[in-house]
Amino acid sequence: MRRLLMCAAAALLAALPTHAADKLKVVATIPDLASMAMAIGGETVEVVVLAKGSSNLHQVTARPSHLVAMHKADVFLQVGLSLETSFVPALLEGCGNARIQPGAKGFVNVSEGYAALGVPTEMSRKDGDVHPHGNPHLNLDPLAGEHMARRIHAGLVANLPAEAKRFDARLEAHLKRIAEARARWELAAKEWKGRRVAGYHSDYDYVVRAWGLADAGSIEEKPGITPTPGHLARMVQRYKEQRPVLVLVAPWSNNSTVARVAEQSGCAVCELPSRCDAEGKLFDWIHMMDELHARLAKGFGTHWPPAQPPPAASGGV
Amino acid sequence: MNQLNVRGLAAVLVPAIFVPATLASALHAQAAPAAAQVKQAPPGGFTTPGMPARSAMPQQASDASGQTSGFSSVFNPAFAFVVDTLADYSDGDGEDGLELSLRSAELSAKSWIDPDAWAYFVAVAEEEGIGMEEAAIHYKGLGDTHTLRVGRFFLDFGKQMQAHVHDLRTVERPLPLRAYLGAELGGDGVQWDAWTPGGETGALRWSLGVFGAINTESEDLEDLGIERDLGGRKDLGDLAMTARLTSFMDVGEHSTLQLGASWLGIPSFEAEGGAVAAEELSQNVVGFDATFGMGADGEDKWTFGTEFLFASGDTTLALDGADNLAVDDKGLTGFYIFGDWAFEPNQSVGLQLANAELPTAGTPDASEIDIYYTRYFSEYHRLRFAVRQASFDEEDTFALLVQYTGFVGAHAHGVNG
Repeated sequence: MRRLLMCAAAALLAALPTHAADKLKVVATIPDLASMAMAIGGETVEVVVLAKGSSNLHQVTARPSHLVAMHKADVFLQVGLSLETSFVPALLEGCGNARIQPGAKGFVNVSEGYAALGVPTEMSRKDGDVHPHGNPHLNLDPLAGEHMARRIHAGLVANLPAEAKRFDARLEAHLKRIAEARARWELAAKEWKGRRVAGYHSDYDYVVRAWGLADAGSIEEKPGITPTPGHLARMVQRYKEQRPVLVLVAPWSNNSTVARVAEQSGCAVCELPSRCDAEGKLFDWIHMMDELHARLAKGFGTHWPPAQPPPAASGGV
Repeated sequence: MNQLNVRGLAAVLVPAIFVPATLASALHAQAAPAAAQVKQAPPGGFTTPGMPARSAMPQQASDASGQTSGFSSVFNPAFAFVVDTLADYSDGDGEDGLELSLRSAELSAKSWIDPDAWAYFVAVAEEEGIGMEEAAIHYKGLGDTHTLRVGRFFLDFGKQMQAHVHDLRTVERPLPLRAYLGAELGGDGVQWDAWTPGGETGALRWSLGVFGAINTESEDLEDLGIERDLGGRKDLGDLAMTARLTSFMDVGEHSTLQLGASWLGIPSFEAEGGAVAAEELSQNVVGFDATFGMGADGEDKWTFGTEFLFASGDTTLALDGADNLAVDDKGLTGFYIFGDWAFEPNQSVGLQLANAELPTAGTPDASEIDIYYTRYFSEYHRLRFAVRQASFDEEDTFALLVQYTGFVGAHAHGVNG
């Protein structure tokens, strides 16, 4: 009887969800990384997101709760490439947590190993607010899903090897979803090849590269620098000459300057999501990218979802 | 705790850093098929957790030979240079007219010196000459949330005294801070500071400092020809001390609140004016501060703050004839209150009101009203317009100030919260 009771107690304990204290505490700079960490880590991870809104990531403000979350974290996920420069360096310096410092296994730089766009050949402020390692908007690259997922998976495994098999299985399932989504996006993008787009900032350069869109020049003359009247006049003229041009903007950059340029040049503006929504329906990275492609399709006047069924996923990317 | 006080992280003043390449250059540089751009993650998983992936070390002629020259620069510190200029048109204080000046040129450098310590210096050239405002070592080996600072550095008092003048929200430090602590308040000594989380959304931070010398100047006393000696060899009991306790927390989804209390005790100093001197003087200054910031990232941001100061001890000095330095132990009070509105990420306006009893004979009341507009053209240069109405001894002064500041290199001062 006693043995039976002990077995029952053990079974009951095993059936209980993992206690929060045993979970891997993960801090992600943006919801995109948090959604992947939750997809791969499942109930084994407890994820805190720092930058929740849809604002320009270069203007996020560090808060006391961010400091506390960083202090307690086992794993820290950042996109890197200086995307989070406005708030991450000071948090890392001040949080007093050696487990997540660069070089420690709890520090996961998701862009590591990825070939970034726009790596400057010369480092000078005359080129505006330069990112020394290239365009940091990796979370908006339709082709980067697998890379980001694998980086996060590797970070979780390194910090909780006992759960490696569970992480492996969840990664495989997530990669399958990514592959299916990518097939969907590729199919839709077949109709877009060569279409002219412009941007206010360089948020969507990776989308432009991925689908072979044509660049008509950006409204910002230099990254991070307010465009001059002369540059705006040149852009209006250029867009007029190259019409139709679809002007791609993020929620933070859909401003009066863009509206004025679009009106004067006779071009349409297309607002795209710039990252996942921490609390809304676009929390999942694949859903967010689906929405991005749907809005692009609407902007170009093409089909979404794609007219033909996507080919079966091969499992690879 | 510098992340809660560094200007770049303050609610209203986070400047933008953007991506370098245009779409055209990016596409030109990336002509290969898209799929080929994806490098596979390193085999075996998580091999190099730090960033960047490639070595930050410049390529040497032969990597295996190591450092073979005394001219190697691979361990050089991060340097920064700041140029702060000011145009000041004043009317009504006896120094009417326009003054154009290079207010300060600052050179600083910092670097890690071992896994638990980093060192820095800040040298400033001003009208009065060149001085070493800060040169200190931060030791962090006492524990994750503890720092021991040794050397010369700005004292941990209130929210603004740790900031260099060019990093302030306004052109000058508020009136009561200038009156009781000086335009800048440095010290040679040791400071321990630590913090601990308070729940999930707040933290508590404290510091204690001991100083053999306080480096500050009082413009009010200097105008009277009185100089204070706040340094020199002392008994242990005569060392100056500081203490600060501050709590900061999230308030709702988009607001933060910080409350703090600070104390500076100077148990022994001397003063000299004309041919006479006074010894064994002492002074205490206590301050209470509150700062409230609100606004979601990317939207308008408001910051409101106040600080109340009380100075006691031998606060009031005056020359009474050629051979008498009158010392009065009257308690003095002062305060300032401000509100800033960042209506764009790179633009803000603000209003500051300040009042203080001055540490001179009769402790006259003085007040200042500042209205200021700040525009960042980029993260690295800033233009500020300010209008000041100052009242002292029933006389008003009006000033129009234009400040233009450029930041070069890795500018960031380590400050306290």
